[in-house]
Amino acid sequence: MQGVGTLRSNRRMDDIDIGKVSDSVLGPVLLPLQFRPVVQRPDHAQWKSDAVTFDIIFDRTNSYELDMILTRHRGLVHRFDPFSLWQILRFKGTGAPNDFSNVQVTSTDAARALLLQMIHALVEKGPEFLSGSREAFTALRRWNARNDAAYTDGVALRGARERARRAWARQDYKAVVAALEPHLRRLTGSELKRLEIATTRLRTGSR
Amino acid sequence: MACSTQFTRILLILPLPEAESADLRSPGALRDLGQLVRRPIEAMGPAEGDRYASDWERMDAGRQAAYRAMSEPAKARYADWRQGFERNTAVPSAETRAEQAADLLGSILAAAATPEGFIGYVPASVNALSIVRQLPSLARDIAEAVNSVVRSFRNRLGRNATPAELIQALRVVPQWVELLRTGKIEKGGLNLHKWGAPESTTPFGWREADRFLVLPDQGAPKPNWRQNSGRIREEMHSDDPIHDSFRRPLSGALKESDGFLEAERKLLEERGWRYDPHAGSWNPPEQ
Repeated sequence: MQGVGTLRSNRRMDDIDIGKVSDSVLGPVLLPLQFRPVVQRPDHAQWKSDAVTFDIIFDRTNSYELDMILTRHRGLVHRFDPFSLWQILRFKGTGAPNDFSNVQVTSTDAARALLLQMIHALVEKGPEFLSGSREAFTALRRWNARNDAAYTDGVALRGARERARRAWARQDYKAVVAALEPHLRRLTGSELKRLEIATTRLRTGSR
Repeated sequence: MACSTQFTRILLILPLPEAESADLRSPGALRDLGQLVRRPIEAMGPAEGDRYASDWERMDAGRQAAYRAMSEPAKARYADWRQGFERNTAVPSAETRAEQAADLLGSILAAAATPEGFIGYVPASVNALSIVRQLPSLARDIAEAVNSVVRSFRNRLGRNATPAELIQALRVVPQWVELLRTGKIEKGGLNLHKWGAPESTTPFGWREADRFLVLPDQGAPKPNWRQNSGRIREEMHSDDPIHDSFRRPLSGALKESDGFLEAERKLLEERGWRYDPHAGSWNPPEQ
């Protein structure tokens, strides 16, 4: 899609006003669902129903990332319970090649086209989130907590693998053990073998 | 129910870091917290809290109004009451910051969470405590968090914030959680952030010297990223921890992201920096 890019995009942006774009694209979908516009700014559009806050966030000064975020009202908790469209789509397991997890727009036309695709995906794949289903948001919240934990573990594991690789190269077996041992259950066969060798050599060396 | 009885105990119900799903009103949780802050903590049990709530609900509007009217002189008497409370309960004066914070929160919750608690009382009690002078940002954050709850129920007759609602509010003050865990507050620094996310725009929880990279727009994503990554690399040279504000408030787990934030995280990872969920920061590789 023209104007939708990645970090490599070199295209200069026009003066995108996401508030206006959202009004024309999302209004026809959201108004019949009892959403009302609350915020309309160049970098932020917000709609609210009795149950859900619907935000479009656009970083128009740095990354040009565009995000569609839904938050169910439930007292105070909603402050830290917003969910992006990509989270909803992944949670639903739609298997769609484009889950809108990393979208950048550099032109008004692209923003309009992208928002249209996003809202259609939401209406098609996750209408219960637009209606503010408590059960749906609760299930998503649980899935998301597990997802974040797995993501953080993944970050730690990648770092550990890299440290272990370097330590192995310089035959620093103590460092190999220190890096890999906390991640025993997630190591590959070759990593387990290296850990075993490193442990043995450490033990032998200490004798 | 005499108004003064609400202060016979500290109602201290806290967002323990590891107790997200636990019953925070359990004696065990409070005992653990007491050990952590080296300070005895008495809790109003759930049954007692429920009794207060039902008593209040049954009370007629006139009587409720009378109780509320009593809050004004009580505010004025707070300092005297506080001294008396300390004497009568033999709780030692707070010495460490964690103790002061526990004391502060106990006072807030005692005032705000009981059904007959004094709506609007929280700022006065916060200002009365020395922690405001010592840790002004923490005191402000706690007061704001609690006030935001109390305020939302202000117009509902006979209905103050419940303990559970206050607990939830206080979870957005990561400094508080950190203080309970470690007994100290670390200074802030550069924070990676997700544009527009509540974690980035919240007024709560920031430490002294916390900051974001705010760079001039170069007109397109690619030069912006070049500029951004260059500045991150410069910051890495200082070997100071780089905080990650897009994380879960209690566990410290990173929230999954894409785009610039993910690229920034990858940059740190590639250079051997390690994320510490307890501190919520990326730390340089050990030499």
